[in-house]
Amino acid sequence: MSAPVLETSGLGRRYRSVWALRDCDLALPAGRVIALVGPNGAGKTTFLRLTVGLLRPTEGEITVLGSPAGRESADSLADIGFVAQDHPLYKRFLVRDLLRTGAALNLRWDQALAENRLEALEIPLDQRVGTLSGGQHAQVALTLALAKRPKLLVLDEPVAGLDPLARLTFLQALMGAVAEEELTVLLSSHILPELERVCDYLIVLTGGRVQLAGEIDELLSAHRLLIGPSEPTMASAPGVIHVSRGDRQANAIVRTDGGPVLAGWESRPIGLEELVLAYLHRTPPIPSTR
Amino acid sequence: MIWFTWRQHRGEAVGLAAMLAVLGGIALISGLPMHSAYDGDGIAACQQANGVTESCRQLLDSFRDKFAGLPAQAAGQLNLLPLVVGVLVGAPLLAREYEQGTWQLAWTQAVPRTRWVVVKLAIVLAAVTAAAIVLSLVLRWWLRPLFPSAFSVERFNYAAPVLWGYFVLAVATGILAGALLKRSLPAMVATLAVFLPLRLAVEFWLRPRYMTPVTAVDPVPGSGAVTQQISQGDNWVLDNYLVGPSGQRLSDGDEFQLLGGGTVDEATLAQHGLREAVTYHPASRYWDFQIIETAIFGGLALTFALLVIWRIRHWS
Repeated sequence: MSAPVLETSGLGRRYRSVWALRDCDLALPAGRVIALVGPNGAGKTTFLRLTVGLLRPTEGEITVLGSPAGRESADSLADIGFVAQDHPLYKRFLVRDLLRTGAALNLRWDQALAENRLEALEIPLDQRVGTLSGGQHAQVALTLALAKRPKLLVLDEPVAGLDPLARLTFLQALMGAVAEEELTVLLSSHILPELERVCDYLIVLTGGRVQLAGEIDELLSAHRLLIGPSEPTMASAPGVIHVSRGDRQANAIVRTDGGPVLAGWESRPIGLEELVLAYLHRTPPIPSTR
Repeated sequence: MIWFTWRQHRGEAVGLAAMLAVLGGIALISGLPMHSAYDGDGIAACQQANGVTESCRQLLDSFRDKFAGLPAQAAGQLNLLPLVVGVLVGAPLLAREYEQGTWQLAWTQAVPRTRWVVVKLAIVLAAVTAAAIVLSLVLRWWLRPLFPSAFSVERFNYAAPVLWGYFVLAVATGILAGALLKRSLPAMVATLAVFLPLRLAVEFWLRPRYMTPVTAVDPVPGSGAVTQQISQGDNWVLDNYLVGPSGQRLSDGDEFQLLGGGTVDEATLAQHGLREAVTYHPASRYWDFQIIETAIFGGLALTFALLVIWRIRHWS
């Protein structure tokens, strides 16, 4: 197996007295599309900014593509493409000016890739950035990040705020790019359904702590949905992540790791959305002040 | 990076250049007839022998009445220009990056952010330096016939060294305020609140104290020969007063009691044994003063610029 694209140990970041992220230990494989999922305020943006070097850790270590993140080196920066939340761009620039900026400020700029992408999306180069639609704006931001020819592409809530059609087009464009390149994508989202189609690795983050991380296929096969009589002791049984009770029966999401399940319970495979929701339910946001 | 900085701030650059062009036009329109009168009517000769003859005095008065209005007003109000540039160009420079979130775009390109901010500061300060030099040249040409003494406040404040100092400090203050406050409007207010009091305090309180002033007293009561020459030269006169027979300064109250208000002729002074005295900085100190004031503003500007770089480096 190839070296992890991103590795953290004991990573934590504090803003004044509040910890936005703590005790984060991860090793993310290369070549995947990794979804970072969690509610608002879970620490997703903090994690992504640490990854791209916009923030520095308060404690612990983070290594991206083999070198510590946040080091000011042109080579490290060139390897990472980043699209921040709300896709900030210089609004008074023409689209053409943004491309020229990208060419001027980067080491491996692929002008042809950028122009072809924008042409395919029918975004004119002579349009002022401030007048683009939300979807076009996001596409231009993605184009800037892709034309850097990064090894790691980091996207913070890329489809939040886009209408369903623009969301679909954006994710299709993203997948097209991933298919062509040796590219690892790390994207955060709180919109689940789209992720199932595009991602193969999942990280669930709540209250500044990693709750779950792994290949989506493996995670799905390691968990089962058990349906059986409603018993109050159920929730404390080993491997139980979350129990929801009806009048007569209870649904439990259990980490079985492929082992046998309790007798008398009906066992079903689980979907990604159910899995994520179970982990989001399980852990009420921990008060992270100290 | 140079092209990017230009593209990002060309609006401000063009605005400043246009302002200077308009000012240059006004200076030309108002200054050309003034200069031809200055050369044709022998104003220069009169200024050198200031007020010796009655005809000369009249000539100078009418020259001033005719031409001084606009340039004098400009000389007063353009003192605010560095501050305006600091507020409009300096303060939003980094604050707008934070407000619009574009810092995240800028600092994830393959230009390390230290280099990014150093290059940006260098370009902006170089542009502002150019503006200061142009403004200084225009005003020097425009104001010189009216204010023959380089030490006069109208000329001193627009000499290239100090004017450069004002501009770079105002802009550096704005940039630092933007880096610290992260929002344009508060940064603009902070720039105003820091630069304006500083600039005023230096001009009105500190500048007279750069060096110990010289005091000269007429040797003979009633004869203003020495003090008049000093006052009419290119010296910077801080104070005029009267000295009594025992050599001590006459207080304002005593002066009023003794002489009443209004102008006093030399015979009256002689009668009371009073001599005129003047406290001043000699014209020869002009460049010392320019250098000291430029060092104050330039030094602070450099400090602020380094703080900006430090802030961006440790931004996280």
